[in-house]
Amino acid sequence: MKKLCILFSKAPHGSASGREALDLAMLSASFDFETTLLFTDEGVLHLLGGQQPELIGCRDYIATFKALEFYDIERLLVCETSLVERGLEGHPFPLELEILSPAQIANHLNEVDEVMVF
Amino acid sequence: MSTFIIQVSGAAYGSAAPVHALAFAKAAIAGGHQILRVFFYQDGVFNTSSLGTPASDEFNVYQAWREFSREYSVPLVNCISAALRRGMLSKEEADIHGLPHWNVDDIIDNGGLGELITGIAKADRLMCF
Amino acid sequence: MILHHIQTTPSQSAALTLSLRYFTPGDGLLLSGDAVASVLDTRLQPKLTMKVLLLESDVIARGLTPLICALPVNIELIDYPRWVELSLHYKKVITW
Repeated sequence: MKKLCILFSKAPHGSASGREALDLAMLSASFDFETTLLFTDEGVLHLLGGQQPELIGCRDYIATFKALEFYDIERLLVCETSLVERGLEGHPFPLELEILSPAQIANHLNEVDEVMVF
Repeated sequence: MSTFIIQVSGAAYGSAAPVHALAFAKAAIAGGHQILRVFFYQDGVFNTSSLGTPASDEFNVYQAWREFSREYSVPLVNCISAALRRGMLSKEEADIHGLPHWNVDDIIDNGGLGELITGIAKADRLMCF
Repeated sequence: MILHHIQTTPSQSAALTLSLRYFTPGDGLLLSGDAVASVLDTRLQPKLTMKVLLLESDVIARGLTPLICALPVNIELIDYPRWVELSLHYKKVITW
């Protein structure tokens, strides 16, 4: 099956972008696509712990990230530059992440069959 | 000949994305290629309104999609969950939800994300707008 | 071999910044819609060292044709049939 990379580039909760990206990622994995999630730019804010989106009328789709291995999504990739830009290098994220340099990300984007940006 | 799947995320009004998607799809067909389907996701589902009414001297993208679909037999597919959340309902969906109105006509297939994924699996190239 | 497709200017989204961050030699850069005006950005021009493809109809529609002639950027105007060809020439298209 094809390899699909779902790229999260927008901040959570202010738009439906991240939520719709996650819906697609889970569906993609359920169709046996080798699915990776890549967090870049403000998309890295999805990964912070302690979020309470219900307080602002949003659904807590963030909780789903912890369960992604049960949906056969094993690789959560993060852009190192995006972390550094926000002072988040070394931040204790509650998820198991692979932090990649821009060159490593470029490699990954080349390896997969398709990339969808959210 | 190659096959494309076209994914549209931009709204019908206020976004250039659908106009680009439509022109690209027509150019692909003119070039001898096939469009497997056009899939509307995110705000792209607004393209499927049968009630969109631009002024008579403006380009009518709602109608243009429908004419494109009829002329070239290309299925237009909505992501139903994205559509429901944005108030884009077929008559069937309105009945299921006990709602008195609907705004998505029969030419639009109410599919799921699965149709996007199977389309990506089958097509040579995914084009997002 | 990726064709990076950008629809927005750097003032509207991070799309162009991100695509340039992950751009590798052999990739292509195509700007459509509002993004075509990005080449006017003098802060950005030094980073546009690759050939930049602009969708011709978007350039003409915005009255940008006379402005883009003298820019220190290697520009090629393309039409839709060429875009279709390029989307198949590259291994994939990423719309940022």
